[in-house]
Amino acid sequence: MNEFIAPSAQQHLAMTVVAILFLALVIMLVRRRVMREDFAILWLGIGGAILLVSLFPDLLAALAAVTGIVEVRSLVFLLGIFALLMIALYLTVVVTRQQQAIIRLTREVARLNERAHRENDSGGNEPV
Amino acid sequence: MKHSTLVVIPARNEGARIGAVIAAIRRVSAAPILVIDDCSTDDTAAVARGAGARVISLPVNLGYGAALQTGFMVARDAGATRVVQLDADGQHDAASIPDLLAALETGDAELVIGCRFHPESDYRMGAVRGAGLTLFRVLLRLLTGRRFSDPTSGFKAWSGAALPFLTSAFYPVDYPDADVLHLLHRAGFCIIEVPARFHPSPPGKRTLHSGLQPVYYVIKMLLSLFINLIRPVPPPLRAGTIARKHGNE
Repeated sequence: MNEFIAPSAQQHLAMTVVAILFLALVIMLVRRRVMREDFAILWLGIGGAILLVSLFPDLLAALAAVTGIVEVRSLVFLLGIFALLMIALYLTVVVTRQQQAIIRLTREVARLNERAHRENDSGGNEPV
Repeated sequence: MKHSTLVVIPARNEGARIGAVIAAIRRVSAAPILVIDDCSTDDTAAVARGAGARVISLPVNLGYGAALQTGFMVARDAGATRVVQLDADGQHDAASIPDLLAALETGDAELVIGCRFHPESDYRMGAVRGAGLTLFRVLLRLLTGRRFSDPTSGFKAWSGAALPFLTSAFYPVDYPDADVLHLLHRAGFCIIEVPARFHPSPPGKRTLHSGLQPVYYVIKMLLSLFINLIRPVPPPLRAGTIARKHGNE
């Protein structure tokens, strides 16, 4: 049976509290410089979206109507999974970039070490 | 008192322009010039060396703020008492450098900002950038109580007193601009703005203002400004750790 099953008032309160705690956690992490501002913007955005939806339950119902998804629960899961997918994708890109940087740095350090050894051994008159 | 000045120029793929910038600086100042080559893929490093500058080439692209900070670290290690920063693309007219340095003396300031907006200036800015600039002006006014006409200017002269902060982990390397001014003002730094000559952005140049970057910049700056309000004062900026200019050095 298909029907709109909107979360109850209690559930919305719980969601609001969780969203606020989550936002507070992110802000605390940025404040202590444990998390960079660019990632913080991402998490604050998500926390903000959760807060918005918990404060205005009708938003979810409206979105459900627009997308043709009848059960609001399914919509929440769908949005949540999609968001996490995008975040995972983004992190993969970040990791790739960092790996490339690590490779270049390692190579540079190795070459500098080798040059230093050579110059030590030969008294400094070797071509690079 | 005798000052030791270092000119720091962060640069990425400015091989076509860096030579002229260095030559322009040479015409007005004998200070050593340090170019931080932020992993350029063109001949920026070679051109800069050829023009007589010292060049540090970063093996990985770190971005403007981190490249600039590298320059500050070199300045600190060399015991520089004055640091001038300017861009490698020729936007900042080197002829204004003596004005900035003079203001450090006479104004007794720790930071002099070369400001592009003044009655004699013919500098024009696009509407979107102008709007962003206005936003930060207003915010800084609210947060510091004073007027900054050019908070995003990258043309600055620093006193050595600022180096402990500039070289610390507390310096925001991700687009250091209005948030730095806010922190410095709160720490009691004397900041003055001085009119400087700017040239328009070279055409066809991929600037910070391309694509979604301006949006990210604004959001990031807003976050940074407000988070700093709830952060403790960074240790290098705490009262008593800053060697102020006054008295004998």
